[in-house]
Amino acid sequence: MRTQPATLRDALGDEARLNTDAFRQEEAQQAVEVHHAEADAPIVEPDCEIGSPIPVSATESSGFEIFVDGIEVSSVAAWFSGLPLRVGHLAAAAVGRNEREMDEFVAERLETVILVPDAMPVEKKHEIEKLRSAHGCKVLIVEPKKKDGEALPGDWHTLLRDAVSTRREELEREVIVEAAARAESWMAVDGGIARYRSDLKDASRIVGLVKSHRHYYFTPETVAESVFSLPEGHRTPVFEAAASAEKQPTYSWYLRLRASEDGPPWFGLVRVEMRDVQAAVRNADDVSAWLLAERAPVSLPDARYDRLIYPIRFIEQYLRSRQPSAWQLRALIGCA
Amino acid sequence: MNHEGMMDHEQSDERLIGRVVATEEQPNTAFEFQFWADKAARIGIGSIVEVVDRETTARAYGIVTEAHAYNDAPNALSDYLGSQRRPSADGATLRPEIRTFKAAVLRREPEEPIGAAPIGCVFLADDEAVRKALRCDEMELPVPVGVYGGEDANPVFAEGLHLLGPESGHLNVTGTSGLAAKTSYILFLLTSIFQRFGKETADDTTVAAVVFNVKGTDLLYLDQASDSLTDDDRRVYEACGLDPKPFDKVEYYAPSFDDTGEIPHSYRSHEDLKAPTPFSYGPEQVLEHIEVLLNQDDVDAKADSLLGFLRHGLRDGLPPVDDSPGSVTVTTLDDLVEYVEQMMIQAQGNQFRGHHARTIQKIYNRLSGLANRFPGLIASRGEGKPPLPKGKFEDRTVYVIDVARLDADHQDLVFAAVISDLRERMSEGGDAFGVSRLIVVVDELNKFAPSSGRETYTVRALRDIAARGRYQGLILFGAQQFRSRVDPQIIGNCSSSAYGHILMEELANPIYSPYPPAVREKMANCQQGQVMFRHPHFAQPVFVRFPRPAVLKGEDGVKRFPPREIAAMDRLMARLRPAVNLQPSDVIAAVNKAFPIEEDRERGVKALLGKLKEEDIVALSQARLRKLLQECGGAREPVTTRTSRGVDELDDPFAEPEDRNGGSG
Repeated sequence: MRTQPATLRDALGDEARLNTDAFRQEEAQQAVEVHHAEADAPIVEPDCEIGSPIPVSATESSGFEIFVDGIEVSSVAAWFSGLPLRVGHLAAAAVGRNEREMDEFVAERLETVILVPDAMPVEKKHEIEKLRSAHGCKVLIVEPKKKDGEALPGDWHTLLRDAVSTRREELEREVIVEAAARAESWMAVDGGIARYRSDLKDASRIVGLVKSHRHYYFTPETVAESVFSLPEGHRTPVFEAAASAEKQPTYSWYLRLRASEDGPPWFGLVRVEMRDVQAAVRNADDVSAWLLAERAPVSLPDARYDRLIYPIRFIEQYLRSRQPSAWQLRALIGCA
Repeated sequence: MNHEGMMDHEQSDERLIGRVVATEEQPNTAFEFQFWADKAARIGIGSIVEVVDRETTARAYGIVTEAHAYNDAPNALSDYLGSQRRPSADGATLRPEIRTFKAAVLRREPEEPIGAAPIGCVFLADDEAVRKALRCDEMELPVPVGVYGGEDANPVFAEGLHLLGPESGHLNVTGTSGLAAKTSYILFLLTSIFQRFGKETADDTTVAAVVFNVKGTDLLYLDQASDSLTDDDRRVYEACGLDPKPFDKVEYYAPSFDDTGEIPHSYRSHEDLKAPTPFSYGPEQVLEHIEVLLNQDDVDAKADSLLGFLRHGLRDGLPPVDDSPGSVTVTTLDDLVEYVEQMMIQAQGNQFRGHHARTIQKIYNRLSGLANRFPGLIASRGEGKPPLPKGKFEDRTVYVIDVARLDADHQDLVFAAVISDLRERMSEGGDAFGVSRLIVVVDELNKFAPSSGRETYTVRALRDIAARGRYQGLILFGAQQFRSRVDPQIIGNCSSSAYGHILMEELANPIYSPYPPAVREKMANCQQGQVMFRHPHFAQPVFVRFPRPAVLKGEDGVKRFPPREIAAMDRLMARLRPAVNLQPSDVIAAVNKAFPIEEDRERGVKALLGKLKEEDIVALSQARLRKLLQECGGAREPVTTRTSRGVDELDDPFAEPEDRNGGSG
């Protein structure tokens, strides 16, 4: 009997059913729910109202010096007694820009993970743990959500998928903290920064860029009248984005990077997020101007080019270039 | 291995410039590989690189044949729109720009089995890597052919046994005229061969060269040092282990200016320079190369038969035209013309010894005009003195045949005669040349051996030399502006080739299609002092630099040693040299006395030269000379007469010339 399993198949034994299509095609995207607030978020920028867009003065150069982004790729790898197991690769990086060249790799995390439901038999979990040393990967035991100490019923597929994203966010957090500790530079982070707030001693120069609008902080009517109607090069006033169980309050504004006569109303629309209210109000115009400057070079051929600034795209490309190939990940599973 | 995935020693190697990239769509092959290099890397078409496989330590040496640069802009439109239609818009971030290169494999280690080029780190080749890549470590008789690289010039060697035979041989050089490609490179190679060939062996590696100076003066000062070598030139010579000095031994030949056969017709005529040896052709050479001298219509089958009869007769004696016993010896062209005239008379409009009268007359007309058509080059009197040593050539000697002052027809005769002579000696075999290798340098090869012309004797001779010469020690170094217009059999037998700057129209020719487009682009932009060298030892052609020749340039030579025009006095002295009764000082004194005014002297001497044609030069005396000078308008010679009183009295200057000696006291 082999003492050291070489693949997930070895660890699980003959009882497992492998996903022979793992990493061969993209998994079907889940439908995204869009949430609107029940009431309009409070405006914190003095003498401003949501219905009056604020023009942003153009600038040739940008003040951002560090950019942060992360990637994730994962797939169901196998089933054991009906329980899914998931394999993925996660990465996050902070890259500095010097004289327009993205050439300073400030911080980086690369991780191949195996996500295992907590309900798996103990001996199988032990066997899977042995893959850690064989492949240099991380084994995450995923537990169900709990309330008052009691496990809540839930779909393991969804739990594992969410665990992947959670782990990626953790890597991004580590990278942001490391980058922020090394330099007092303006940092642009892909996505929101509310979840990182407690980690950062001084986040006055950290800006989150939200491209996907799953949460609106105004009523549908206000969104339609005042957010979707933003002209190119204009922003809304700074408002307070409500806190939640996982997130600290942040201070945001919407900014129209690009406009188009056709297409969805969120074309070219980003939500800019900062931790500190005074920093947000004080720097909203400058940060917005920098983001407008970041429109060049354009991030084509990415479908999100209207909202994706080039340095973030650069980091994504960089991280994908360091991602294991599908063959390597399938080899880890044992179905290459 | 560190964070970047590099071996620690790699990081410190300054030669490290990039990495091999091979994808499923663009894999490496046994003969080609792709790599990307750092933007700052000094690498381009023709650069030599070394690839090291980290795991197996296998290596591949390659030469760059293509270069690409691109960034992640998906198309021009997105870049245009992203720049907001402003060329000056820089954008907040520079797109990453990648430089990728394609390289052809020069050599791999191990040599067998022949597998695909390894995937590994790419290094700029240093001296040792260049030597290995070009197999210089395997050469028996290396000859430097230039250097590779910039300031850190690495010498590149050709295998002497392949350049100068017998393994293979001959060299062809292509380059645009006037751009220091052909002649300069050949001169450098001759310097290299003379100084380095055979140093590694005790075998006979003696070598000499025959060079034609067809136009200009660039080859007339090979024994004089250059005064235009730069520091870089000297560096290149040093890298090649060569001494930047002129040739130690140079022999010059130039056609005779007139039928005296004494005055060389050459721009190399300054008194401080060793004068060229004048040469001319007699009846034997005339008949041998008659096809060069006559047009195609003249040499039909009947004329060819008659010419063969005369040719044979020159060797063995011609039969007397009156059928008397014995044979007639013909040694000069005049003798030959006279004999043919006799044949014509004897034929009496019918025939003579099977040759029709009209044929005889045609040949007579052609031969009798040759001396006037080729004054000096064809000796009407005398046996002719062809150029080049009759015996052995000397080691490390350049023999220059200067025909620059001849027109095209005359050059054709000289060229045909010399090539024919060398070919015949080659056919004799053995130690025909006296040196193990004789290099014959032929410029304007597309003129002498065109691809589309008729098959002349010269073309056949050159083909023969190209095909067999390497076994017999006769090596052809040919040069031309348009390689596509040279006879393919000659080109095809040249194992080594050098390409300097080549015109785009020429590069469009299919013979250049084996080279990648980027290489052809580089050939179209070759700078002075650079050639692409192809050699059997190299898996791919290599771009090398070479220095200026270490000999005085033609234009500098003309300034330092201005050519002296041949004066009538020179011709007179040359003509009277065979006269046994005259001393040069006597001649000069007589001429000066006859023409005390310098202005009259040139005219008078020219007139004298005309009169001397009918004279028996050998028996010419002082008295006869003075009389001739007077006939040409020179001053009368005072004649002294003794009187009975024994007092010398001057002749009456107003008396008639016939009364001079009859004067009474």
